[in-house]
Amino acid sequence: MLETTRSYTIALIGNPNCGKTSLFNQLTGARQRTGNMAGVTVTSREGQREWKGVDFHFVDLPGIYSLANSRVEETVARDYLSDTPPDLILNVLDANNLARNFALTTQLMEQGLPVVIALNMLDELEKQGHAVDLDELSRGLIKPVIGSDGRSNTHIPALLDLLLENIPQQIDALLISYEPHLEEAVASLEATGLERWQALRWLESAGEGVALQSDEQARISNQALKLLFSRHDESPAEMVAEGRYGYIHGLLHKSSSEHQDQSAADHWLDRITLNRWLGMPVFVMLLWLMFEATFTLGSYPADWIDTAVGWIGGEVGEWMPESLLKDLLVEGLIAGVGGVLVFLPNVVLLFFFIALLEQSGYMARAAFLMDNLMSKIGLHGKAFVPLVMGFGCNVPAIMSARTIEEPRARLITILINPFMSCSARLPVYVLLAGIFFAESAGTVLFAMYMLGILVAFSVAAILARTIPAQHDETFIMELPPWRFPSARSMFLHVWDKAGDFLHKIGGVILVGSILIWLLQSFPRQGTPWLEQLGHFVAPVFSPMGFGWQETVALLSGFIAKEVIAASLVVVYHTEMSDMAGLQAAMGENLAPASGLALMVFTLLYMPCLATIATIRRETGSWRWAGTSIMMGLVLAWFGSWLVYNIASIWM
Amino acid sequence: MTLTKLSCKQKAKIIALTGPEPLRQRLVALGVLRGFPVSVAATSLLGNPRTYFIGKQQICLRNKEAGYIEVELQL
Repeated sequence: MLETTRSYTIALIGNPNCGKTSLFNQLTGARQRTGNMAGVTVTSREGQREWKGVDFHFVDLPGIYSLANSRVEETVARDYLSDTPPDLILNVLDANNLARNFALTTQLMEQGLPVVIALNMLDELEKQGHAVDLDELSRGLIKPVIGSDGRSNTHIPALLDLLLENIPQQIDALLISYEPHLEEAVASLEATGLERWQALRWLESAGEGVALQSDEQARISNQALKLLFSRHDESPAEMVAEGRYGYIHGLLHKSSSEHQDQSAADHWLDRITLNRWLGMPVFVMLLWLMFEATFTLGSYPADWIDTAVGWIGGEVGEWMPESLLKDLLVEGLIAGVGGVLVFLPNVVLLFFFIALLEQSGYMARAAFLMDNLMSKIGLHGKAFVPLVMGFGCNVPAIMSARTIEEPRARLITILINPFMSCSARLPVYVLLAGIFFAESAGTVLFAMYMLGILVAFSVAAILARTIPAQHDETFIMELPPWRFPSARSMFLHVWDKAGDFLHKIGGVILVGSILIWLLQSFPRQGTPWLEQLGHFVAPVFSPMGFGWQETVALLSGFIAKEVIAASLVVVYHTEMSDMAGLQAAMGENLAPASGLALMVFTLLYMPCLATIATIRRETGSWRWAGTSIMMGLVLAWFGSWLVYNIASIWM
Repeated sequence: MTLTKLSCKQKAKIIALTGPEPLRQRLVALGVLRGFPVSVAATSLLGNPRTYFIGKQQICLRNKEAGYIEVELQL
């Protein structure tokens, strides 16, 4: 053995919702997401930990049920194990559903991989009056087994010691005897040079999980598979699983006090949240509560930030000599960045609530409730969550579409998200509705949100019929058990999101603010470029009755939609506080029908810069970001044109 | 009968999985196997999808997929 610093790679493998990511966080201190909905960890994450002079390199693989299926997560995990075999595998199991969790373990052990087993959530099991004899289990498996808990750190040193002791590990591949016909098939595959585990995996995946080397091998294997299918109604996958579950039941019979019993999955919260008649009202109420809390609670710290930014701007304005640099700092940087910083509390709160919904297990319930409606537009239940989040801000909403596994459904969810009217558009509606429809402002506002939803659903229905599905959209979802989220993981999650918001979005806004300021401030003499641009583009908008002022406002709204209201204020040369003056000026210049059309245009036209950047990042191509822009512009133009003409007749 | 025909409060046992091979493999991976006890856990407003207790877990299935699961009533 080497005496210099040793370095080992350890891969974490386990079913979705087994608490694997929480354990990974404890081992590495990495800050990352641990959602409670199947499939949150789409790509693997890595982290380091030094222990007793040894460098551990941990890899958190996606949550999977089996190594034999051909879904993305399973392929990622399988390829990782064969391409870059880790020194040791830490197999994390949910102690509350041992049989199914062990099915994956047996696959690993049959493959003869070095494994250490961590039983998570033993406390939940004990609360139900059950117990597992870890020593007995360890003897039965001939593998080390340790209890762990995603909420406390006390067991981590023991776990790290155990990992260290098991490199290298004495390995004898697990041998399970299967049904005779299956064994026959395995034997004929082995005769062609395949390992036993490869033969089993090839059969249980009906010819996919393993790449065959020669035509001869393929011929014999296919023959064996065909014979097996002709002899049994069951598929080989079922026969293999039955063999493994038989082995597992024998194992658990000796070491576990529980017996077949369904109480573990039954919970009083489900009787309310999944109730046929109560489920929906409760869901709508929870959403309403979430938004209400996000925006009312968020408004206090938002005011403080606003005041602080105003104060800094004022101080800088006072202390710096009159110069171009001062204008840039005060009117460009501080006003622009400050204007976005104000939304930080809302973003943090929204993420807090969404993390709460996810980690408690409610999100999967919401997906169940919404599935029927969503299936009408080519999506399934899980897609509803990002849409609701879009009312807050499209950026985190689009990122949350990662929880959708099927690529087409995810793409559609991302592309229709900008039509969900985000909070940044609210000031524009409030301003315009106040000017033109003072008596029925509330109704107009509600109509805008409804129009957004209607457009989103229509576009989704069209996209679902034009983009081919990548694989069958079966909606089979495990409803994870209800869990009380740990304060630590909630904090890490929100902290992470706040950092993201400040880093990435802050960068875009910073550049955008400077750009708008430049266009507004130059040339120093004569008409500013922004106004020139407004006059130049205005003909495009004249069918809706917009002037150059509205044109400029819409153009600036590309940076962030909040800017539209601010731009209108600037170009009409009034003060934000002088609402009456602005209303008079705009009312004179614009017909009510144009006002309505302007709202519709604001609702539908291209997403803001941050959203476009997010679409680009999440879809991995400019093509879809471009599609989103074009789709928005076309729909906005025709939509507002239509509204303008219809409204002109009525008003 | 198929799982879709199972009504609330009835208890049943899975006797066979039918349907396309990828679906069967998916169900098997989730621990939906012959011999496992099954009952209806929740029904959505329009009756599709429903959730079921299967073994020690709760699984959400649309009626299309549930129709591929053959069950036998347990008294």
